[in-house]
This record gives sequence, C-alpha cells and structure tokens, in this order.
Amino acid sequence: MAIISFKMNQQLKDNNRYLSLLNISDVYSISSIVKIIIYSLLGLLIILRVIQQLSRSTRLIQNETVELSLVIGSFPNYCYYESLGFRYRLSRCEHYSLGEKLSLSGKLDPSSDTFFFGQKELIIQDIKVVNNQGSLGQVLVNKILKLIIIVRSYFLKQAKQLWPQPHATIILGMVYGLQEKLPESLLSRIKITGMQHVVVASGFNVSLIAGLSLWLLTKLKRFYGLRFWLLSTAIIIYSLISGLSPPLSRALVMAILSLAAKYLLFRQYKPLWGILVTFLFFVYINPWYLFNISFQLSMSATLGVLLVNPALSQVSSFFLAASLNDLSKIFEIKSRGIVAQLKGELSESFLVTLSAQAFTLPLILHHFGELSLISLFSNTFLLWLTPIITITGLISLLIIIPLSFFSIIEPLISFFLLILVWLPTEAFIRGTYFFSFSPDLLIQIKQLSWFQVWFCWVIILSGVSWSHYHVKRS
Amino acid sequence: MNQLFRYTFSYFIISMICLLIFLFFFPAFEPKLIFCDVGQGDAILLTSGFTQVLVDGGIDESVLSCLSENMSFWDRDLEVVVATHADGDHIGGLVKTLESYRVREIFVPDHSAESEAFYQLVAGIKAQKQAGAKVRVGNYGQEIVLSSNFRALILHPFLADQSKNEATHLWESLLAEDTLQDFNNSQFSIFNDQDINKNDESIVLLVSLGNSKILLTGDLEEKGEKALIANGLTTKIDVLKAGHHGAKTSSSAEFINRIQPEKVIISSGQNNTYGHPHPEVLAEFKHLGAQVYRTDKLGSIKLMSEEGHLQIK
Repeated sequence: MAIISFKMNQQLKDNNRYLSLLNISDVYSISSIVKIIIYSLLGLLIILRVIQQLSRSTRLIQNETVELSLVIGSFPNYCYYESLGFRYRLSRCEHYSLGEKLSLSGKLDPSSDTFFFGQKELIIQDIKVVNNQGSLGQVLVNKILKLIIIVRSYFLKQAKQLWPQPHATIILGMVYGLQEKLPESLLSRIKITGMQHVVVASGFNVSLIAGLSLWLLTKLKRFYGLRFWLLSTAIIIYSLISGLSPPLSRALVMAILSLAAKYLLFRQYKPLWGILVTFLFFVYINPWYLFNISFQLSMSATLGVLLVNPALSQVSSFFLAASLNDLSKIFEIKSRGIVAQLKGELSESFLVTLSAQAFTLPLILHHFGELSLISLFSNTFLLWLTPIITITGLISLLIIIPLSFFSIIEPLISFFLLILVWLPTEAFIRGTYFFSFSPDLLIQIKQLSWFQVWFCWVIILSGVSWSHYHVKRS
Repeated sequence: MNQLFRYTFSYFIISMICLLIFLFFFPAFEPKLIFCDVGQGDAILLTSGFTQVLVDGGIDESVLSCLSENMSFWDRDLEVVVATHADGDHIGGLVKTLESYRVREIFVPDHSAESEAFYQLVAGIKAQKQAGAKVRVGNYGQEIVLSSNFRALILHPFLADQSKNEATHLWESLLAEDTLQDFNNSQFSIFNDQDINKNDESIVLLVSLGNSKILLTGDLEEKGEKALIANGLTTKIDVLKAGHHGAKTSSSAEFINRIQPEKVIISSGQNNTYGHPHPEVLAEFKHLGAQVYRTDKLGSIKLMSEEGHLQIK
C-alpha cells in the first residue's frame, strides 16, 4: 500500500513538474511580432537555398562541369550510382565499397531532363574517394555511416535467406523499406489493388521502433532529456539502416519533433505545425525532395490523415451512431467483444484509407494517370495485416540475425519464426490476388495538371471545413 | 498450477498449428522436372522431396517465384545449382538465387564472361563458398544423384586433363580473396575469352527419370552437338530441352536424328526480339514427329513420371 501511495506521489510530482515547466515556457513565449520576423527569415533562407540549387541546375543545363558528393548507400550497379535528383553514369565501370564517400565532377547528359529539378543523368569525368578527408567530425561521421551501411547490407543478406520469394521482398519492404523488384505478376496485382504504399517503410515503422525503445526505457521515467536522446538515437539508427528513403526521412523528422516537444520542451505537439516544419526542413536540405514522388505521396498522405480523418470520423460517428441507435432499437442488438472490436478496426481502417487517399489520389492521377477502383476496399480489408507483418518480421530478424552471426540458429526456433511471419504475408498475398480479380479494376485516365491537383485539394479542404462546421453545430 | 496449465496448453496449440502447417505444405516426393517460365532464358528445377537441383536461373528474379511455387516455404536449401554457361539469360537469375538460398554444391562452366551478371555471379558463388558450398567445374562423367531413380549425368564439356586444370585454376583465381578487387580495378582485364564460343562450352545434362531420358543442352550449338556425336555420347532420348531456346544455330538435323526425341521443350520468352524458336527448327521437329511444348505459350512446364510414362503438365 505504501509503495502504491509513494508511486502516486511520484507521479503527481512528475505531473506538477511537467505543468510548471509548461507554465514557464508559456511565460517566456516570444511575442507574435518576433515570431513573424523569425518565420520571414526562415522563409528567406529557404528561398535562398532553392535559388542556390537552381543555379547548380542552370550551370548543368548550360553544359558546365559541376562538383557533387555521394555516399555509396546501397548495393551498387557498378556503372551507375544514384542519389536524390541525380543519376551518375561513370565513364569507366568501377565498383566502390558500401559507405564510401565520393567527390564527383561531371556534365549533364544531353539527353537528360532539362527541367530545373528534374531527374538528371550526369556523365562523370572525375571521381575521388574522400573518406578520410575533411575535419575530424566529418571523418567520424563518414566512418559511422560506413559502419551502418555495412550492418544494413549484412542484415539484408541474412534476411533474404530467411523467407521464400516474394514473401521476403514484401517483409523486407515493410520492415526495412527495401525496394527490391517484386515478381511482375504480383506487382501488377498490387497495382490493381492500390497497395503499393504498403511495401515501403514509413511513419508506422518509426513509431514502432520508438514504441519498442520506450518500452525498454520504462525505468527512465523521470529522465526526460535522456529519454529524448536515446529514443532519437534509436529511430535515427533504424532509419539509417533502412536506407533513409524520402517517406522514412519525413517520418523520422516528424517523430524527432514530436519527441522534442514531449520530452525537451514539455509543450503540446501540434502535428500540423510538425508537418510544416518537416516540409521546410527538407526543402532547405535538398529542394529535389519537392519533386520526389515518394516524398510528395508521403507528405500528402500524412496531411490527409491529419486534416480529413478527424472530420470524417466526426461525420461517420454522427451518422453511424444514429443508424446504430435505430438498428439496436429495432433488433435489440448490442455489439460486444470481438465483433465490436473488429467493426471498430475495420471502420477506422476504412476512414484512415479514405482520408489518406483524398489527398494522394489527385497526385497519383497527376503522376501515373491510374485509378484503382478497388483500392478503398482492398486497403480496408488488408491494411490490418501490415502491422502484424512488420512487427513479427522485425522481431524475427532481431532474433535470428544475431544468432546467425554466431552460427547457433536453433532449427525449431527459426521454423516457428518463419511461420509466424510467413502466415500473415501469405494472407496478404492471397488477399491481394483475391481483390485484384479483374485487370479492369485499374483504369487509365488522363493525367491531371498541377492546377487540377491543387483545385482538388482546395475542394477537399473546403468540404472538410464545411463538415467540421456542420457537425459542430449539430 | 493454472498458469502452468495455460502455458502448456498454449504451447500445445501452437505446436499443433505448426505441425498442421508443416503437414499441409509437405512436399510431394514424386520426382519431377519443372521448366520454369522465366521469359527469354533457361531455368530448370529438378525436384524430389527435399532435394532440389536448379539448372540455370533465367535472366532475372522470375526464377525465385518458380522456386517458391515448387518448394516448401521453409526449405531454404538448394542442394545443387548448375550454371551451364556464362550468358546473362542463364546466370542473371542465379545471382538472385544465390542471395536467397543456401546452396551445397555449385557446378560452373569452364569459362568466364565480360559482363556485370558474371561479376555478380562470381561474388555470389564466393559468398556461398565461404558459407561452405563446394564449387566444381562441370565436366563429363560427374553425376548428380537426387534419388535412386532420378539422376543427372554431365555429358559435356569433355575436358582433357590440361584444360580441366586451366578451368579449375581460372575459378580458383576468380574466387580468391582479392581477385574481385583486381577485377574492379582492371575493368575485366583478367579475362581473355575473346576466342571462346560460350554456347558450345555449355554443360549438358542427361537426366534419367525412371526409365526415361531427358537431355538438357543449355545453349549448345552445332559445334558442341558434333562434339557429343564424335564422343559417342548420343543415344535415343524421350525429351529434349532444345538448345539455345530453339535458335537456328542449334538442333542440327544430324544431332536430332541421332537422339530422336519424342517430346521437345523450348524455353523462350513471349515476342522475344531474337525470333526464338526459329521456324526451321520447329519444322525440323515436326518432320521428326516430336511434340513441341513452349514456355512462351504454356508458361511453366512440369514433367513427371507416372506409372513408368512421362507426363507433361
């Protein structure tokens, strides 16, 4: 009893500390004029950065030689290397090791995209390995990067031998964001069902790692600062091992902002501000992100869930409550237990899918001109398998790979873990085949222009505001 | 006590589920050959229970789907892999296979190639060798035994002692610790294979399935076929995997008349740009009265022995 009251007192103390810090930060909050000045300066900085990048593009287009740097981050095609916005074609096919930092100079391939931020192919004339050049900090960062990339390649090499194909590609796509080629037959089925987004690592993976780390750090309740640094390190290492794809980078920055708000600044995290800061951060780091399709889709899906989902939930709960009341009155039904939980899961899955698609659909129509007629249903009924595959896949890899390193894999354990992940993945594959019963479910339409995309978004946002207003009034 | 009972019961239920899954996906023990539909390329899987032999891997990862469909999902081992020769449409998929499966024994051709696929294959074989796989240069007389009535005998190439030593030395140097680095820096200069026609160096396998004989010729062309005749290694067979995807340069009249196949399987891609199989070759088989089965028309083709007779599905 005494222990319980002590714990409660500690919790109250923690809460008071939290509240007092919140008040202090409120007291010292900067005035709105200073805020405007800071935001304007930030905006200016980003504009300057974009202009700087534009000048590099202009120099390329004018056929000048430019210098760039590149870290070999994935198993290379030894005649080509790629980074965001650029494809480097080597004049002589050469192989560089994972994690090596290269300094390149080259000219634009005349047949390349001449739009300022388009994907450019460069003919590389000079390459230098610059691993051990620069300040001590840079050299150290390069060495850490190299180590992480080598760990990643070891993980992937081992993981590929754990499951059969195409299961391995799907699991590694969900857990690590590995973008290996799926068999053509399955890929076309996934396209029909509009489930391509599932086979990439994104916000869910980052929150999963943060959740696991948080569970491991339950003892550090009061060390908020330490918690922040440990959680951030965990998700940064995971994101680096996973290859820092644009959606994962987006999720990483948003997660760090959210953790900083919670554990360092003791302020309420506002996701909409989070997404805006993340967006500006990436535009500053590399404006090519703006023209990266994965980044655009990841941003718009998050924005859709943040903006549209609350409004949709309000509307649906309003109508659903009314209809359920009527039904229960007529049939005297009370939904309980698993059925109610399942219904809740499915309706949530449906609403999240609808919200994300509301914002991503115009973009998909702009880039690909394809519309999946079954995507809403396939996502509703198959999306719940994603966290199961990701969690079991991650756990299996975390258990099996260290064991394989010491060559002590117990066949029964590996067989059990194999089944644990294989079953939901098989269900996902079979579900995909089931929902893609006809190729006519994927229709080709005229690609939307950017003006049309923005017009759609404005319409959706107006609808959201209108429904929000009306539900509130009701 | 209750908790102990609950744990025991959960363990029992989980074990039963695992056992049921294991039994449900237990492999059929009947031996069969599967000519995988891998587009324009060759990939042939010989399977009998838990023993699998893969002859070539096609051009890309398509072979992995074929392996998944025809092997138990927990079976991550291929007992033997044979790379008949170093062309991309035969070894491209083997690169992916070596990444995804543990291999016990690898048969390699007696030549090399100046291609990225070959470089990656060497890297893959090197990794498998480090994990314990044996690497052998394919030569006449070597036999792969899947079961008592399912065997594959290598008929070609017929390497004399000196050329066998040279081939072994080539692979030893390729798989040596620092050779890949030399390979990268020298831009393939360690290879000097300008004079070799890789197709004629293809490893040829004569598979015995019960009383039936099946000949897998890789991309063997007329010169190689003549070598087989000259060495007295031609006999009447039941099924022929047509050489070089049914190209005009293979399946010469003399060779076909010697082996008199009843059935011919052609592994080629739909609407391939090479025009395989060639109409003249098809006409030749028709003239001989052989039934032709094509992967570009039928997809993957299964060949199995039922009551002493070969059945094609």
